[in-house]
Amino acid sequence: MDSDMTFEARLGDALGRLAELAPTMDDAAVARQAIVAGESARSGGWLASLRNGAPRGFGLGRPMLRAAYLLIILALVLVAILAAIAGGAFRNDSFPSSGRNGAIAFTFGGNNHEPVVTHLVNPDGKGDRPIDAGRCPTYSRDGSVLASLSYDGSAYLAVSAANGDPVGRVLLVEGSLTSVSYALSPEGTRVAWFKPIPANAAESPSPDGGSATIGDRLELWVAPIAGGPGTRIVTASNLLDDAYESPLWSPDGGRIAFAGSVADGSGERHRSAIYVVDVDDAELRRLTTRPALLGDGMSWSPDGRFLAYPGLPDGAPIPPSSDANPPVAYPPRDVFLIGADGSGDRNLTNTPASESQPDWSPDGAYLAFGTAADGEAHRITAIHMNGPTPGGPPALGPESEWFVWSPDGTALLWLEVSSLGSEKYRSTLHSVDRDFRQAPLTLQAVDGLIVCKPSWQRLEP
Amino acid sequence: MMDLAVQDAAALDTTVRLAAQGDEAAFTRLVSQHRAAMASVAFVICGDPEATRDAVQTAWSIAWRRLPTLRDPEQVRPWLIAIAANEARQVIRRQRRRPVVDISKAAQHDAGGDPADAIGLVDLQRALAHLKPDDRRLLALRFVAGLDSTEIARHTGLSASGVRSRLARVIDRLRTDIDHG
Repeated sequence: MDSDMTFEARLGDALGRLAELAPTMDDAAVARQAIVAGESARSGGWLASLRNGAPRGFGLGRPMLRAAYLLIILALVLVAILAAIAGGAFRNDSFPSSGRNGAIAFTFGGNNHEPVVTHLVNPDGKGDRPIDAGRCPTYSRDGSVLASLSYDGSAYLAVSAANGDPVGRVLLVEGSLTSVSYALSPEGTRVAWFKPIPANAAESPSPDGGSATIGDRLELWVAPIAGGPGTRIVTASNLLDDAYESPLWSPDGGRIAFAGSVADGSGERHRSAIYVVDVDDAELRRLTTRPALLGDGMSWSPDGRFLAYPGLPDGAPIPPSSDANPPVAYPPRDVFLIGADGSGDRNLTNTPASESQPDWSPDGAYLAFGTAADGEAHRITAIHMNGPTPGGPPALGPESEWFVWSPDGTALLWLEVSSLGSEKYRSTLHSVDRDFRQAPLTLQAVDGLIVCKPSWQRLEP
Repeated sequence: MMDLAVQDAAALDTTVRLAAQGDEAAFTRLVSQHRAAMASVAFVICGDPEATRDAVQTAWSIAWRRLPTLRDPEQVRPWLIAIAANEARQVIRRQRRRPVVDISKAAQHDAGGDPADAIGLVDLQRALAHLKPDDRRLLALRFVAGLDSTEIARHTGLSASGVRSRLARVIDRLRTDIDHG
């Protein structure tokens, strides 16, 4: 074995050896048992009802008819969106002012699996420099603090000044090897994070410590980044699963929104809820529930009145897990909008495409999100949210896994990943105007993968 | 060579179609062809022989019911592996437990005179035990089943670039743990 063998190759080799330890099974018995177990469902139930309406066998059939159907739905939906917006349904005049664009912080791992590093680059793409910080950096909303994650046996929040100079660190999870989801408060003085606790423990052992063993349940904690004890905001009894994205601070720093699983006994594969918890008194409120997982890119409106989130419309139930394995595709997700008090939950897009990661522009004028037609790559799009949109449907932007609003609200940062062959990649950061009318600007290119969404520093106007 | 490939594809197509139409012998042939690969993937995710058997058995029950909905017979391998991977993930989540690290068996397997830079199975299992089931599923689909990011994306609901990014993060975490742990 070549001593220069990359870690990835060594990992593949080890996983292959581990897989050889898989238990053996009697194929004939497996087949017989599968047929017996599956026969009743195969001859009845929801599958049978599907078959009654469609010829059995392979192939979708009638692709042109399907495409025409989708186009008609799309047209109807766009008309509905424009009508709602023109009616001022989401108009708001109290959005805060935008800031100026500061540095962009991003983390990438090189193609030869060098250690992951974090860099800062100026908003014009110049002045790229590495900083002594952890991974997945986040600027506070006022741009004064840069936080990141470091894993040094345990998971820490690494706190830096805006220029990347280290200031200190906060223990988040002792002995953690899993990724930790955290969020810095808007004013940059507190951190919120999900702390895993031992599977059999009622709660984590101490307010300021961590649990040595990682469990399957989570608690939501808030702690000052300057040091001092943290506070458990939501206990594990309210968090049933590990399917959580980062907690999301409201713009005023008084509330935290997050998504979590709910057990509603409906037999559905999975159902999730959106919660908002008051940071001061830990009052927890469930705003809504939706099928499947939630939490992928929720966004507060800048005035704190609304939450935008991607979710599945209620409709045909998603079958229980045993029937809903990957062969059953999830229906496409739409962007929903709900009041921060739980009122007015509504489907904003309702398209046949799959939408994701809604994010309000800093001035509240636009809501951008990802959209992907069946089998196509995600593209960025943006809806004008502060009045009627002239000139028809929202414009489609570039393909990108994610995007980040510039603090001045005029542009979006996005990622282009190109293959260099043999699992080697080049990641290029571009910016594009929010109407997607001008040619994108290339800000930075690195050989490797940018491993999490960058953060763009906001400077005072 | 081409004739052989065409013949194999035709035989596969026939086996899958027959099994989809309820031919139990054809279904048993499918089990013989793919069960081991499914078990390998499930074992990396579960880390536990009994949970692996449960996941694989359930996966085949699902496959028997769902074969008529498979659009392309040539996709049967990734389709079956994805079912097994998802069921293994579900088994672990339902049981709310971490994979069991069978040190004796792994250590025995390690004792075969591997070079110094090989990753020991005990270390690997310990590191895997701390990953989320979703992350173990990505690793198994990529490194054990050999699926590329596009194929993994098709069966996990992620985008291809999302698969790559997430895999990069997972590999980085494992490298930190295994090489420096």
